[in-house]
Amino acid sequence: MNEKKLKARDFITIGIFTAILWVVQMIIMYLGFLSPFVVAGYSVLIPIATGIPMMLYYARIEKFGMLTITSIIVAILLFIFGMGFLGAPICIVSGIIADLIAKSGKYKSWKKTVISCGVFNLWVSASYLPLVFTADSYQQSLLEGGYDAAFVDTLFTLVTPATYPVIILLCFVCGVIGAFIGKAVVRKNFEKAGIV
Amino acid sequence: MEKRKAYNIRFHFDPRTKLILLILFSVVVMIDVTDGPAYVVRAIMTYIPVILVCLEGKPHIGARFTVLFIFATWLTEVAQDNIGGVAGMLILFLCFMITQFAPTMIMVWYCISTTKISEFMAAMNRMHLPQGLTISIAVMMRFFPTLSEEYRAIRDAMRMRGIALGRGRVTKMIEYRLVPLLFSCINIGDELSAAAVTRGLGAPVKRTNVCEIGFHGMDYVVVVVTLALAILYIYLSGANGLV
Repeated sequence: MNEKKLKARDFITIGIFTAILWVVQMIIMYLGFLSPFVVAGYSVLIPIATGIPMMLYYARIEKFGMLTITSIIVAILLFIFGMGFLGAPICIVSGIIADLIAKSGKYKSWKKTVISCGVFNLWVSASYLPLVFTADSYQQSLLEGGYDAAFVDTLFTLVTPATYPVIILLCFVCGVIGAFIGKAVVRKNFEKAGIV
Repeated sequence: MEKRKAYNIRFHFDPRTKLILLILFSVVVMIDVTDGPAYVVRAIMTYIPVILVCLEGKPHIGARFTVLFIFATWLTEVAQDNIGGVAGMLILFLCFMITQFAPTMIMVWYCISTTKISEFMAAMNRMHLPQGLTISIAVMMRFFPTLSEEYRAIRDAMRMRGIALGRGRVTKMIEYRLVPLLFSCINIGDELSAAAVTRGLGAPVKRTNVCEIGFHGMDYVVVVVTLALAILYIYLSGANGLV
C-alpha cells in the first residue's frame, strides 16, 4: 500500500546520489578556470557527465519526491557557495517539474524519464544567472579578483542575455543526451551485475 | 576532567547557531569586494570561523589557515604585476579562490567537522523540517569523506592495472572512475540503510534524541556579532556602488 511513499532507505539513497551529483559538478566547475569556453560549456559538460549517476538514480528509487529533495539540497548548496537567491528557486522548480513528469510515466516510461532528466538539468542554467543579471558588477569583481581581461571579455561575449535562452536549451538537450549515455552505461555495467 | 567539561559547555555551539552563521556567510560571499573599508570588514569576518576553530581546540588549523590567507593576498599583489600568461592566470585563480571563498569554505568545514550527525538531526527536528530532507542532508554530509576515500582506492587500483590515464581517452577516463565509484556507493548505501533501519530509523514513531541542544550566552554573542558585521558589510559595499 505504501510502496509509493519514500522510506528511510530511499532517503539514504537520495543523500548518496546528491553527494555524487554535487562532487561531479564541483570538479567540472573547477575546470572552469582553464578557459572561458569551459565556463560557457558547463551547460554541456555537467548534464552529460551527471547522466550516468542520474540514470542509475532513476532506476534505483522510482518514487515521487526523489528529484524534489535532490533539487532542494542542490539549491541549498548553490546558496552556500554564493550562487545566489536567483538560482535557488529555479533549481527547486525544475526539480519539482522533473519529478512530476517522471511520475506521470510512473518512473517506468523511458520517454518520460528522458524528458524529466532534461528538465532536471535546467538547474545548471541557474548558476549562470549572476553572469546575466548582474553582468556589470560581476565583470568588475572578476577583473578585480585577478582574472585575465581577455578571459573575462570572452566569457561575457559568450554568456549574455541574448545567448541565455540558448544556454537553457543546451542544458535541456544535453540532459537528454546525458540520459541516453547514462542508460547505455547502466545497461552495460550495472544490469549485468544485477544491481538495477 | 572537570575543567574539560566546563570548556565543552561554553564553546559548544548549537547546530542552529552554526546554520545562521553559514547563511550570513553565504550572503557575504555573494557580494565581491576587493578593496576599501568593506574589504576590511570582510577580512574581519573571515576570522570569525578561524577563531571558532581555535576555540574548539584546534589552533593549529587556525594558524595554518591564517598563513595561507595572508600568503594568498600577498601573492595576488605580486602576481598581478609580475607574472603573465597561463602560469599567472593559474596562480591568480587559486589565490582568488582562497581569498574569495575562504570564509565559506572554512565555515562549512567548521560546521561539518564539529557537528555530530545526531546533534544535527536533533536541531533539524526542533526546527520541524521534514524528516526526509533531514536524513538526506545528514547522509550527504557524512558521505563526502567516504567518496574521497573510495575514489583514492579506485585510483590506486587503476594505477596497479596501468590504466590511470584511460589510454588517453577522456570518456574512458570518466567511465573508469565513475562506474566503480557508483558500484561501491550503492553497496555502502545498502549497508548504511540496513544499519539505520535496524536502529529504528523510519519507524512510524516519534524519535527521541540524547543530544542536549539549546542556545546559550555564547551562541547569542556570536550570532549578534556576525549579524552586525554582515549588515555593516552590505551597507559599505552598497556605498561603493558594487551591488
